Amino acid sequence: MNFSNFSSASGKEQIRNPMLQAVLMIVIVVLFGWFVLSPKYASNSETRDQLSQVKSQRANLEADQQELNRLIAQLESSDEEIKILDEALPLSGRPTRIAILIETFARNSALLVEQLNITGLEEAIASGDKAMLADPYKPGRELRTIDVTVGVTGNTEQFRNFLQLLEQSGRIIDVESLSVTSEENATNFTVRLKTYAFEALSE
Amino acid sequence: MADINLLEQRTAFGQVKERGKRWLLRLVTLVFVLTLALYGYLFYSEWNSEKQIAENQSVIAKAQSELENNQQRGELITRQAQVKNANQLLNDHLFWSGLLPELARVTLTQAQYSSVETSTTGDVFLTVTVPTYAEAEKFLQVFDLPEYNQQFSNVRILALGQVEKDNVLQTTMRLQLTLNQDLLKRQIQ
Repeated sequence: MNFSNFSSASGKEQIRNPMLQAVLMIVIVVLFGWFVLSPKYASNSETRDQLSQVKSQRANLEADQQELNRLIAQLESSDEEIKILDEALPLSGRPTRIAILIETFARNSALLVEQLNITGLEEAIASGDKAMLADPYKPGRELRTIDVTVGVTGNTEQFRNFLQLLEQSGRIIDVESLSVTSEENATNFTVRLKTYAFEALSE
Repeated sequence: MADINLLEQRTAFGQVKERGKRWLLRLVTLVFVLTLALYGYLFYSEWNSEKQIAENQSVIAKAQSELENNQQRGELITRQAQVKNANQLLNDHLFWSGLLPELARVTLTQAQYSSVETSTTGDVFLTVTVPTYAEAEKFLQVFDLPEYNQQFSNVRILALGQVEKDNVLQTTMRLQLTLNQDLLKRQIQ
């Protein structure tokens, strides 16, 4: 009994021993560091990286939004330029407009139009496109080439004037090839033209 | 002989040793407290970062939704593509009205063209009528002169012959010439 009391007193004395307490504390610090602090540090680093990415994404998006607002303001104040653009490359390739334009140029050059053929029309809807009327700027538009063959009769000077009108036209018209054939009384000119429209093609 | 008190020395050494142990304990305790404080900081930092991530993601989602639902965005994208295509077409635009005067400049006065055709490859096909083979020879010699072959070169004879027209024998040539594409390119004002 006395021996037991002595042993218990000795155990308490040992626990109070600062050296033992320090060693225990070091063990606790190491275990805490290894199993709790280190995973927390890793997870914190990961969260901070994630935050940095999200902040960068937000900054980019805000910059995009500012740029969009700037461009929209520029678009709203560019009515004249848009009219010119729509004339150069219209959003509709309706062939009647092309025919009217070329006929006008030929008439202004005092040439007689013998033939006017427009091809490459079947891909686009000329009118009554309800979806396009509801949302005129919906995505999916692309550059469409419209081929025109014009046959005119007149003299060389008149034909040259006609070519100049085509070149200076507000609508972009490219001469692809031309042929001149002289006959007894008249000279025949045949021009193959390309004009364009920026429109949605039917599926 | 003087007495040496060994017991007193041992006691002093024991006190220093005891004090050292206590300092070590204090130091280790301080490290433990700092470790706990570091954990607390990491815990707060992570919580704060997660909160900021959630806030930013909410702002991003709202901004993206605004961007996608912007009514004028569609028009802007369409106009941008339209401008890009128009600029490309204008850069490739050719001016054919310069062709006929240049062709007239390099042609002998006695030669007559019954057909002039151009191809997309940049070649010009001519049907020329001249009175004699000698005039045909002169017509071809013109293109050997530097001042006349700047725009038209590499003249190939595709056909050569004589035909009678209105009781007059005429020489007819079918020619293929290479056209200098720079003649058709001009700076748009």
